[in-house]
Amino acid sequence: MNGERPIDGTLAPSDEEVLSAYLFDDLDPGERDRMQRRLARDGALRAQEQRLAPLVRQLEHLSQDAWAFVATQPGADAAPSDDLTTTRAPAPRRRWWHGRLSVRPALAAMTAVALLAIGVGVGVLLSRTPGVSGATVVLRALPGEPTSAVARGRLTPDGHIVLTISHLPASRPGTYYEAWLMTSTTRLVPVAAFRSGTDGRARLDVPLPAAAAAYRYIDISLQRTGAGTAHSHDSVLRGNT
Amino acid sequence: MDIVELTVAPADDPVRSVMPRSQRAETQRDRELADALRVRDEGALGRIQAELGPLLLGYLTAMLGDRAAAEDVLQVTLLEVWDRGASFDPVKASLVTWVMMIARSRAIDQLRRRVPEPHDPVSAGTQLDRAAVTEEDPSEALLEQWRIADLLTRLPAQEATMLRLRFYDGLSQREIAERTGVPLGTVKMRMVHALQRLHRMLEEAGSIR
Repeated sequence: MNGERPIDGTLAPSDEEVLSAYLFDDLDPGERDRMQRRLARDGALRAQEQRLAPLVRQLEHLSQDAWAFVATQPGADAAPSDDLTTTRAPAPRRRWWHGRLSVRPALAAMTAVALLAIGVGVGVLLSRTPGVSGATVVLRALPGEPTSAVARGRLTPDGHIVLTISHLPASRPGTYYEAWLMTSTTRLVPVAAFRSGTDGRARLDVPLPAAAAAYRYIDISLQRTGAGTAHSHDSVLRGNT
Repeated sequence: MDIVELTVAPADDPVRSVMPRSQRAETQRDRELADALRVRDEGALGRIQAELGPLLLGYLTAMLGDRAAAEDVLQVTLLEVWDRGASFDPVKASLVTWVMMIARSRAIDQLRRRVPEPHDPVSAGTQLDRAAVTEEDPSEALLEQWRIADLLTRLPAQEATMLRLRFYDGLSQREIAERTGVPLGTVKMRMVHALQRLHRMLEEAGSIR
């Protein structure tokens, strides 16, 4: 227990641990099945689960701005001696855009524009035919991104995009990927949301919601569930249309 | 050690036996500020702006989609807090809830006053625009989001950190344990305790019956 005090006396600590893993979707399928069978016969455990599960959903829907606010408040990340301040583990990694968008919107915007420009010159390998129809596209990671993911595909004459993606990190709980047609950080339209499996592969074949020729890039971003429908500014792949 | 102190409570409701120190401090603060507003102590307004300003500005920016407009509405909100200060009753609602309700009303006024502008169909829009696709009242949903954000800041920091790593950084419990060096079992306990505490605070705020 490491000095942790239970605050709810209705459950044993071991039950609270397994309930926590269940609520935060951190059980494997077998464990989850066992937990669900247990919930069916254990009234106290079920009552706690029913009480707390809606709160988990509310937290999942909290916007990134709201989380950024929480992270910047006095006392955030303060921790007792057995916690973050003394651990040899690295400090929580923050993605490059966290905080900057809310605190320094101008800087974030300039950074995004710069990344777009870099994407034209370095991050994108493109083999294309004139016009959009039938164009072959290759999406690669932006400079500085550690992923070796790549997406190859084409824009079909009937207005679809067909993409085969490989080496994409598997979607973590609470995250998903979104494909976009994009010209700038303020001119973009979502194309499709998808998740990547443990094999790192995904395939998209979706009709485009707008004239692809009107946009310069195809972008794939890592999004957080419940963080709103706007682009997260966390692009993992990008290529020209 | 956790920032938790046991208090006397009904034996049939163990959750009520614990109230974070920060929550009791908030109750005390609300009482003090209610008294100060009643006698029109100008220091009260400064304290409200200092303590709630960032929260209100975040909420209003999300609602209006425009930082400058949010700053304007924040000033209008604070003026109204000053004018209506004598009517604030900390028994009926917390200061945060009362002030945020005023902010919400003034933000809705601001949205209604706006002349329709050409709309870029591919732009992201405000969080309110995006929330509007749901069946619930988008301004109410947004208000609830920021109420919860406020409550998250009142959790013991070590519990709030776990939730932030889970929902903001998208880490699993095992990854949080690896990242922080905190044992996995402790991570799980802190996260479920954080939920229990939040639930209790929402109950006290009247958001959960």
